[in-house]
Amino acid sequence: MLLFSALIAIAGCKKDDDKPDDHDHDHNEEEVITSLVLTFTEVGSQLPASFEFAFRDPDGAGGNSPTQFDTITLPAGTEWTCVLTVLNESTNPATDMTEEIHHEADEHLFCFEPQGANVAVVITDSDGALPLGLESTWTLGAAGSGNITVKLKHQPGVKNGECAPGETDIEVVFPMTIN
Amino acid sequence: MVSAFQIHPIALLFIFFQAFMFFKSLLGIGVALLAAIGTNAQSCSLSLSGRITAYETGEPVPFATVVLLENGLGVVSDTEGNYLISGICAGTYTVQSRHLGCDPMTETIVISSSLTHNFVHHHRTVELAQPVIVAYYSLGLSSELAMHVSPEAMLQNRGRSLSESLEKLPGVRLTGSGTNVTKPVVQGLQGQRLLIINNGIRQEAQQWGNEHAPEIDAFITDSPRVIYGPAAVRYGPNAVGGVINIMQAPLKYQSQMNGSVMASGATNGGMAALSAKLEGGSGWLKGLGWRLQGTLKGAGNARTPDAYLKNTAMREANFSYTLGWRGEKSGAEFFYSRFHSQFGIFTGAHIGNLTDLNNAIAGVNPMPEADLSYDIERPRQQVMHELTKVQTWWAPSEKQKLTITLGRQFNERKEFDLHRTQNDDQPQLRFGLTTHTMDASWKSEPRYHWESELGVSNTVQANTQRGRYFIPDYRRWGGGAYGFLRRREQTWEAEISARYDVFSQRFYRLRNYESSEERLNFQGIAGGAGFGWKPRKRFWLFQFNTSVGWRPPAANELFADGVHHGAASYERGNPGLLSERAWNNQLSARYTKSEKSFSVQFYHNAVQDFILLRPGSEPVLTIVGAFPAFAYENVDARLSGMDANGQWPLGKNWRVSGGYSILRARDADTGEFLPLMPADGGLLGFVYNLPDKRVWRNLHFGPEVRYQSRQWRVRTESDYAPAPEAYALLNFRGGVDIESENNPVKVRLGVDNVLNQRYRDYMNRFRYFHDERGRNIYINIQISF
Repeated sequence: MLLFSALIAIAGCKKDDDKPDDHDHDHNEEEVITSLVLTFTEVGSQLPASFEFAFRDPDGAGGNSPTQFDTITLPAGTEWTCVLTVLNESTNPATDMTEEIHHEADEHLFCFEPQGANVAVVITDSDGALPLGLESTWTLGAAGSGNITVKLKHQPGVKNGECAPGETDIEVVFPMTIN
Repeated sequence: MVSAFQIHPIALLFIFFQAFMFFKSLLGIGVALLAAIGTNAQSCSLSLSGRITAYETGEPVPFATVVLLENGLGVVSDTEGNYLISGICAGTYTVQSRHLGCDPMTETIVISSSLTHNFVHHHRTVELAQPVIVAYYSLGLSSELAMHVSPEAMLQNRGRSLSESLEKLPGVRLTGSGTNVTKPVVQGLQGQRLLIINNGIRQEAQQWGNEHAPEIDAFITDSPRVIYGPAAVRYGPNAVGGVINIMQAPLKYQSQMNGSVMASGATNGGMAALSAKLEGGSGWLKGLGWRLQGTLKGAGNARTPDAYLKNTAMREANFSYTLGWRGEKSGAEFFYSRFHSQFGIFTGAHIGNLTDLNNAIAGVNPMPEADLSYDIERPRQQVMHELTKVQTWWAPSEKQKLTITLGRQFNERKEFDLHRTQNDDQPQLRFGLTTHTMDASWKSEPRYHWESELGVSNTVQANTQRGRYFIPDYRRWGGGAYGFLRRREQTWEAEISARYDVFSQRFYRLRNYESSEERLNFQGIAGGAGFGWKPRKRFWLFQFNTSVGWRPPAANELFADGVHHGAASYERGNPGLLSERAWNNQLSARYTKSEKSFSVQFYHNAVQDFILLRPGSEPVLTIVGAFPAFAYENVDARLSGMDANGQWPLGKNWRVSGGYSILRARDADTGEFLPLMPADGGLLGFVYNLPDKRVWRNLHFGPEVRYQSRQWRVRTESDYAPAPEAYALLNFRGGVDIESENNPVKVRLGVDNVLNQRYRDYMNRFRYFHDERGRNIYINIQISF
């Protein structure tokens, strides 16, 4: 039996260092996206006024329902620039993930797909070759209502300017009212 | 191009067939001549009888075949190892005794009067194949319903995963995710509902996950076993569907150093595997035995009939060692094993939301381009499993035995998502599970013809998780006690058993930096009665088993809360879940006579509070879109089915084998069919055996057709795509044993999916994304020394 005990010692079992009830360890929580903010500024307007519409789900998927889910409301027949901000608000303070998307611009693409709303969206920034979508121009037509889907696609190695390839990181269907 | 490939194999088959029909006719003439020589005019009323025992255990060997080679007279030994051949004419005979797992023994006997002759069989390290076609076998008279994969089938399937090598057993099917993850399904039940015993220790890993395959080296065993239903109380609760027992061959205490090397290669994915085993006794310390074993395996991207699957390469490296000592009345064994695997997850299966999944199913995007690469990229998984076991026993008399087994296991699983965090080497998800087990059993002297065994067991477990939330950390304590009584008679065996277990589990949840703690207790009783009856001098065995079993809800069923990527659903645990309780009934009839065998098994498993993931009403709105919600619930389930199997010689050299399985699984409350249950299907194979020669034995080959019907018994509203169409696959397999005094060599080869057909299987979760493997040509070579 002595021999065996010695062998167990030699075996050098791999240890699980973590204890289930010890919460002091480094957590390496995943970088989740919780919020998408659209900031609109009217083109050619003398006023510095801007509108902000957002989807916010600060505790991530599941748990509590989204805390903010706006209807995008803009006046008919106007033209706006739109700047997107992507945040992780599950952390305190919130982490701005927009810069990271900028940094990996050649792997990302925002898509804007209106359904029933009279709006035309043109992406105005690029990764150097293909559109990116953090900045865009929205041209509004006649009054009415509908939806617009804002998507962020992660397209490492497969980005071709189309929305189809890759994996979806954001997909929010905003209700839209043009008055 | 494609059609040319499809015609080729058929033409080849036809040519082979013609050639062997010719050989067959030549052989027929030879046999007739031999028979003529053997016959003479003397009185033919002599008999040869005796007993067959195993060298290692001294126990009788039932179902061994004893044949007089000269005239083909033969019998199968009964449950006590006795045999009797009568109607023999006087003369000199070559008597051969054969049994699965043993070398055939041949002796020359002069019979002038009725004789008694006993055989003592030695079980071999890696067994010589017996009737080549046998994919599985069961022991003789027994009250336990169990099936072994035959060493021959293991040899043919070397290079595949452990789950894949179990697939040919009656009632066993596979489920999985893609080409690298396969899990066994026994009579419709899988995962937490099956107990896997790895060298005498309950395997404790993250088996709740569909993407988590059993972490065991397939090369470690020559003959894994499946016990149907929860009757095997010795191993613990959780065996709602059955027990999979992975055992090594016993150590060879007496022999000199020997071993074997096994090499496998396959064209699909460019797979190569090498496994070696070295074992022996000791000259200086009597009773000492040892074994070293290790495996290396690697494969590149798998290939469907049309394309390589990007990022499906894998690597595996495992080793184990065993040291044992066996004395007159006591003994001890130390076992250590480590399993390592790393594999990629098909890039095209990585989806972010429901739109992506629907696009993948509709084939909106082209398949990611790939060729035969051995690189493993993100997303990938890395798994390690370590097992240490110490077992000691003390046997004060022949029938009494005390056994104490201690085990420690550590399972570590790392999952690397496609998305990187700042640190490139960090997994997004890491599980660590440490389990200590202690089991003690006492087998006592039979009283009133009943032998008995009592046992206790204890488990202490700690689970930790880092990264994205999936299941909580927990500590678990479990204790149990069991007992069984068994009575063995000439023609029947009966067994009754009972087991009680209690678990206390403390969960530590941490989400968004808020922690909560919860304690849950579960307890239950398992047990049953089994009966086996083998009428004297008949070749039938009838078995009936009725048993109850249970399992506590698993951590994910209680506390899951998140998006299940890959399934594009939102899964919610239910802390109020009750334990599952199963009442399982099995009835089987088996006929075995020489190489003819037939078995049919019926089962009905009523599972009360079956834990089912049911579609919820409200979708969950997230920033990635709305996900259909699923929640775990207790329902009442009924699983009933039938497995029929048989093999039969056709003439002297051909053998046919086949099987068919039927399963119906329903939610008894709503009448709906349960999801992820295998559809009906079967197998039909032919093997041509050439007669043995001095240099080679067991030369055989033949085609095999596997048929799988379409699973139309599904709930369409909880699935994203209809179940795939039915399919039939043509496989081809063959092999030969090359005889040599010192280094016998066995070669097995084959072609899977000969016609390179496109097909998908309902039980593979990646059926949304890609076809199954195309044609695969493989070879397995085993050299013993």
